[in-house]
Amino acid sequence: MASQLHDGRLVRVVGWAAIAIAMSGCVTVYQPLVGLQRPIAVDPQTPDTFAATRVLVRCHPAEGVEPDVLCRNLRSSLSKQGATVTTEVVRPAARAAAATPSDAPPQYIIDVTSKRLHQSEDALLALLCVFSFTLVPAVTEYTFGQDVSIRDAQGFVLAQQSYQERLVESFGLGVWALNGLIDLLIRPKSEQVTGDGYKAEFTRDLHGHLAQLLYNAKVRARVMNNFAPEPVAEKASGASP
Amino acid sequence: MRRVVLACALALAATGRAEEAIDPREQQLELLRAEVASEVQLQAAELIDELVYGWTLRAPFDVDTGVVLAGVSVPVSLGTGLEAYLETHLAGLVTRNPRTHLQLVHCPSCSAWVVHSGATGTVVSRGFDAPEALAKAGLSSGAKHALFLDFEAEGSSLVLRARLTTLDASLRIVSARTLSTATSAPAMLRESERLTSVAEARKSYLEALGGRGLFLVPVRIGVRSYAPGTQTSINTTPFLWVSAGLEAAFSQARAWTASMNAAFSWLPQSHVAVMAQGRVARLLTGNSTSLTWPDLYGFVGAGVLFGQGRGMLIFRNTNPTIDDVLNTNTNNEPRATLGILTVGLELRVKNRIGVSVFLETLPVIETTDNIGTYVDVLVRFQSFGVEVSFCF
Amino acid sequence: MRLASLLLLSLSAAGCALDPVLFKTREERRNLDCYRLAQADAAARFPGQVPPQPARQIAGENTDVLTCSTRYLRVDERPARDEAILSTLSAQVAGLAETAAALVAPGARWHVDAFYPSLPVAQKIAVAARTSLAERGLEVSDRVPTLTAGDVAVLATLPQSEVYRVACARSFSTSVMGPDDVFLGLMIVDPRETALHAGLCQRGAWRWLP
Repeated sequence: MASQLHDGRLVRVVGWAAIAIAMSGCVTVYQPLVGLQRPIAVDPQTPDTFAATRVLVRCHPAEGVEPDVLCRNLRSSLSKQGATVTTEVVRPAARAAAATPSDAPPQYIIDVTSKRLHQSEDALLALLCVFSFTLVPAVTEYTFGQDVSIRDAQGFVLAQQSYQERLVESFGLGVWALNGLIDLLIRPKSEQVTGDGYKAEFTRDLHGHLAQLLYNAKVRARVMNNFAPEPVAEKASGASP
Repeated sequence: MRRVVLACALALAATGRAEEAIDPREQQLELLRAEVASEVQLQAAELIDELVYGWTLRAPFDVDTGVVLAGVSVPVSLGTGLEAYLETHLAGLVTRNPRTHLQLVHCPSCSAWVVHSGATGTVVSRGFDAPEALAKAGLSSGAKHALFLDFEAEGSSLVLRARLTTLDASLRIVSARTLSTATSAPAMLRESERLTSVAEARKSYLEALGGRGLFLVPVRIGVRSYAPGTQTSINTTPFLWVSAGLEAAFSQARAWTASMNAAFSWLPQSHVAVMAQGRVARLLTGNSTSLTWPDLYGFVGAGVLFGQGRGMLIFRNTNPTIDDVLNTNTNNEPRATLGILTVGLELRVKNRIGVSVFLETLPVIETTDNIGTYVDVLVRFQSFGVEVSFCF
Repeated sequence: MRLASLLLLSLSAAGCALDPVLFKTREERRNLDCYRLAQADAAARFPGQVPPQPARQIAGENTDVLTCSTRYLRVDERPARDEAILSTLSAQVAGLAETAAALVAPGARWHVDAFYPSLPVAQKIAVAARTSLAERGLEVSDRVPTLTAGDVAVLATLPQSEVYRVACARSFSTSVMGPDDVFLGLMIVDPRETALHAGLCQRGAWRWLP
């Protein structure tokens, strides 16, 4: 009889734990560390910033980051600003086929390496999280870095920059529910920490700085050519729809 | 108590604050500028200290030389009257440190706008940019050199660019130096009469920190009161305790500390008791103790109490009988030995004096007949105490 | 209620282990400059704040420390382009000055000026470049070569590609600059760029720095 009672209690505890985990959510806070918080002078929303500009984005694989996704996102961002973008995921063993074959060579080659630099979890909090049915949050911290360099068609380095950012992720029913409530009632939209706001903020920062870097590279190329018009670019411009 | 716990939990969960939409943005910016200026002021003075200290080691001139302080420019968009303060600070330092061989010369016309017409045309410039024009006009101060200080905020660094130029047609730069600091590094606050290097100032700072020591001897005087039980005939008298012990910290930061104490309590006609207690404390107001503000610690502890006398009757799980009371009169006094678990908060000032409040649970007390309960969260806390501590 | 109190108390107790960034607003987070430091370096740089290595090793914690400093001026307090230039001024100017110094033979007398829409920022750029060159042991003058009003009026009508070349040639031909003088100009040429360019004028010939 006692054993049955004990088993029943165990089932109830496991059941509550399962419900708690199922209902739990993440609260992720994004913090720009290096370079990304610096203001930019170009407006990434302007559709013709890179009109008649052919760009090859090469994403290099590194630990903790999917280069395919990165390349796809960067292509989308630069295309919206008028650039003709070709992407390439550089594999150590073999090269993947270019996503968008182009009949004209690129004017600018952007090499992007994004990698996870650091990851840490608090073991004590993780333990507390489990034993408190996720009411005490488990906290994981990630630091990512991006190295970007832009070259012209001849391989001359026009611009390069490194960025770093940090994501602090809190998992648990308590922290998620309370923050959800505060987000709903108190915090303005820009300050909200539940949901995917951090992704949008990071994407806005990274894409904005990449646009600024490409713009700086374009101007630098013009200066180095003594402000000569870009014949290849004009030809491409005429060819583009 | 529940309200306090709820408030703490809500504060924990509030991982961001709403912007105060009521205050006008301009007002906020003005407040911010004032706040930033007060920080910049210290760091800028620190950079000037370092510059002048460098000149005392390696003077830009071999003999005493008259120099015009031609300009002090502050970070762009930070015009808060900082220039005047920095000019005064520099003048004070140069005057008190003759080894720099600099003699500041007053030259109001040097910073005035000068219109100079010649064969090549008319040029409008500041006096120190056209020293030949000043000389022709008889406005020259006699100084042969000008000093320019330029401060700029580059992210979290404050950068000072100092240059000494000749006040002749060539305006040649004879000495230039760039110094940088960061907001994370505290200002050294060196004495103006006896400038020291950053390394020496840092050594003094470390010595000051080291002077605090890793070990302290806390002496505590406190009182513990026990919640009245359901047996109203029992009077739970507060116990007065005096304790002394040794407290150790992991590092100078004193973020974590551990201590052992021996305590003594005596009340005529009631009891004589001794207690041994260990505590582990964590600093709650930061990662290191403050030299200027009180520090708040949270602590947990465990101890063993042994006592004898009529006062010890309350620590029994049974109600005192008439025999128990009578026994105290025949030198067969009641005795009690019990374990104690403690949680509490301690507010300390410079690790010298402190005041703490705590709750204690007595696990061996199973009934509420003799001793009642103050707080019942997870465990029953039957005792509440306050202590004043002096650390040596 | 007792259970709720217990769980909330646990939450509060866990608070001390949570990351401080969780308690900062978005604006506060964006106004921090942070970098990672090894535990031993951090303990040496911030005595009294970061415990030394052995204590942390005993506790079995990560030996990596994130150090953050608040910026002197918020990122939105100055115009975006000014802030982008000024917050990287030392790095940008040092790179350009190093390149320029390598291209000119020793013994030249250097003059420096900056061309930027905002005069205070232009002065900051010029001062940074002069100081950087002088610290390299070069002979630098505070004097800026000045063309006549007529020359300036003509230059104002020229396209950007010609302005610097013509101004340089004119400075040499009118003896504003001598054969031993070198002029280093720093500028932006596009209102939306945040990187400085530099050019050298020597003996009437202008060239852009790579």
